[in-house]
Amino acid sequence: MQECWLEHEVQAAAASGAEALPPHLREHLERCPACAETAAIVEALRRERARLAGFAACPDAGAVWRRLQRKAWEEAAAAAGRPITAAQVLALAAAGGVAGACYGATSAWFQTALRRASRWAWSMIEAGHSSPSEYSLLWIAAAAGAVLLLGVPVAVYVALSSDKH
Amino acid sequence: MDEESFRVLYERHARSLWAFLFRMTGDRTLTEDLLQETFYRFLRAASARESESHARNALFRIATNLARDAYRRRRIRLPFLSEARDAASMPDPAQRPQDARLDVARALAELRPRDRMMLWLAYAEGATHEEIAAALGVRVSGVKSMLARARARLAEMLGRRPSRQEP
Repeated sequence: MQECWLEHEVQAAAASGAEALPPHLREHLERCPACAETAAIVEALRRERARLAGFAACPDAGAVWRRLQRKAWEEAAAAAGRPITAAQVLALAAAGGVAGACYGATSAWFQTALRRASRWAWSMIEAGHSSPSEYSLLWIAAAAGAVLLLGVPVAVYVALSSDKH
Repeated sequence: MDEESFRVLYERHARSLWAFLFRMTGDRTLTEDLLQETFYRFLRAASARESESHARNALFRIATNLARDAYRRRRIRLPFLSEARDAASMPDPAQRPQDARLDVARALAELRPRDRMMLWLAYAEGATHEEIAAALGVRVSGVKSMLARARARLAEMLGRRPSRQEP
């Protein structure tokens, strides 16, 4: 269907209702299928809009205003709380590190175990003839250490942030 | 914005936004959620000296984005979609549902979300091509042809145009 140069005029007039169409446009609609289609669709959609707006279940403006204010306040509070949570996690991780270092420095058992473990690891690396299973054990131990170092602060962060909701 | 200005803005636009969102989602609860979210986002971003038409466009732009997000998250199940398909497939227009209001609702439900939004904004809300382009995130130059195609599809479903022959 070809576009008509009067289409915009028809659309604007049809938006005000079919009865508002001036005579020259009414005549035009009888001859132009494109404009007749546009006018019919504008009228159908306008009628549907009016029908829906008539039974629109909009909440009261005052209630919405209070709800939105509360939501804004909660979001602001949550945003303000986020850096504190991050700082708490960092502080906790640092405290854990310090506690671990103190324990490591004072415990004879820990010192001995650590020395043995590092000697064993170095001997394996220097000898270069260890079995693949020994290498895997070394990697597993290293990975477990890394997971502990990274995972604990992340887990604490997740736990603290989910407490807020 | 103070409460009184908000009340004026809300009373002026809430019903037409509700109608738009309801026709896009077909779900009253979701419509109410999206309506409040629309005003919330508008309040967060609005400047106090915004003009009336600017505020209206901004509200519809936000509502359109929220409806599109809801489609993407697949939260929307238009309840009359299958009925629309049944009605559209009836060969004899005389057999199609007689209620014109239902016809429009069903035909809109059958359209793609973007076409539905575009037709509503253009013909129910009287938005310009520039406003439609801004709301839907498409180029202004493309709106005219997209709108013509969407209108043709709707006219076809409403029985105002013969169905296109399948190849």
